[in-house]
Amino acid sequence: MNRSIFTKFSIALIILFLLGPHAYGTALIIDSSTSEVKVSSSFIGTDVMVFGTANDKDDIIVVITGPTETAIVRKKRRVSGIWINKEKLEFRGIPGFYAIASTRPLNEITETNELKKQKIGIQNVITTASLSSEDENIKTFKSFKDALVRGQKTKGLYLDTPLEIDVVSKRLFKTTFHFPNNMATGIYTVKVFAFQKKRLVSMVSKNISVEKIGIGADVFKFAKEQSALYGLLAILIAVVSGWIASVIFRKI
Amino acid sequence: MHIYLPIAEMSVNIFLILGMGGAVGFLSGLFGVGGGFLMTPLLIFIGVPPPVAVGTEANQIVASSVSGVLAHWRRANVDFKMGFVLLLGGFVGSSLGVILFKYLQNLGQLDLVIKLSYVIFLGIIGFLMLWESSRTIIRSRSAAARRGKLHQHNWLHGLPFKIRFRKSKLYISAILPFLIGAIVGVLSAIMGVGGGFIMVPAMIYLLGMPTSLAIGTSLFQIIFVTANVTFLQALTVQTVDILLAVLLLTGAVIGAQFGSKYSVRMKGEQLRALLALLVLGVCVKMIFDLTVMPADLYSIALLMG
Repeated sequence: MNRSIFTKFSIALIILFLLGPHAYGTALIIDSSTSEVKVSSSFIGTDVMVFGTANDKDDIIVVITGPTETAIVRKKRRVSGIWINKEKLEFRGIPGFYAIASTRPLNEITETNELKKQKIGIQNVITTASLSSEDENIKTFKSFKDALVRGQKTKGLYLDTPLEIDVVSKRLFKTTFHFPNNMATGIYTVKVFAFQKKRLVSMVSKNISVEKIGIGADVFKFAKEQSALYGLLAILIAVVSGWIASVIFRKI
Repeated sequence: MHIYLPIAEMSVNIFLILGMGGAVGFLSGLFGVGGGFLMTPLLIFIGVPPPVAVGTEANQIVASSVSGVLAHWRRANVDFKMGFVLLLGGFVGSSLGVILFKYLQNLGQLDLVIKLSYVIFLGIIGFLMLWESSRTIIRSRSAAARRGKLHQHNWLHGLPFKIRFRKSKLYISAILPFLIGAIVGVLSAIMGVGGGFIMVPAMIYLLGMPTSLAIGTSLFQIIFVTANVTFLQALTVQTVDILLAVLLLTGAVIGAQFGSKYSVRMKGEQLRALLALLVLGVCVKMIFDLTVMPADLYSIALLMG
């Protein structure tokens, strides 16, 4: 793993040098330490490094967005001494994972409007447009959205304040994100924005796929696709284990 | 050492799960209960999503009940006829329970109903058992036990569809065991328990069965009811994690064997008093969860897509 990061990093360095001074003012080139995160039965989360080259004075923002999900956020109220879920707000098409890194604080890099337009920062991703129905809920939107971000943040699935980006040399940058073990499988999108004097000059993106492999993946597929057979197998395993245990312990 | 659970979609420490299985298994062997009422809250506590905890625990209880019933069968402690009537009710109840489970989940009130069920049923059962067993302990200390009738006769014996259960030495209406089976079946599906802690006292106090026969017979019918819950949960919501179940049952069957060996050394009423305290402990924990202001008033349910 470390070796492959190192190899890719070296390649990026070589590209940087090949481009040389002539390339000044041209391309934003990026890559990540891996393009496929494999969730095996020993998966405990992994680090993914995103790196690339940009122009000398560029400000860089890196965003990773996970597959979309629907979140139902409920608020508890006290009803005759017991805390019960009362109001709810449904957010559609929100990312299951959101991470961000930047060379400087976002508001120093560009204007609020530009951040909104490019959907940079979690507050610009989860907006009132994510709500399933536009009604009186708008009033409560902020507190529910904050609760959603807070909840996802404690699970390691959202980052609201950007991580730092390492500027290795004048033009080479790198940053490392943590993918936790509870992340959803699917396609993750890495977007790298380059800003100059508060203006967006370049944007490049690439995908990282997160998929289950090995026995875990087979079990998951089996459970979803042949549910009845899976249920019967689960029962059979339990009956046989119970019987074996009883036989073994009778002998002792 | 961590392992990634494919259905729960999280990684857990293998030894933590084995240890939990072993500890709960020991208690279940000691008291002759499935231990679901301890395991399901524990699983939820370590972060397993409640639907997965309930579905998987049902699967694990199948295994511990099979291992338990074989031991009781050898000692001829199973009334199959009674078990069959309970089982009929259990099938109806658990199937309804699985439907109710999905409905409550959509409403967002599943957690509340799970906790309330725990409070109500554990509270009642724990209190009754504690009262009964402490009375027995006091009485056995003060004087030689009076020998009474086999059981009390009351209005329950006036119900129709009377059946003779030779093994239990009972001649009672089939409606009563059917209803007990059905109610416990519903709870089994919603609470992720076998329901032994309700079934056994109900059989002893309501039906008037002897304790040893009640335990064996309840184990027999729990196998089928939890198997039904496992199947239906796997079919409708896909929340049975085989890997988690296997880890839990490995710990549990080993723990249960030690527990049942240990239980021989203790008196029945002492065991019942201890079990009552354990049941009340879980009940108090649930009351606490429901009434103390939660750290975060908001909860999040994520759906794919």
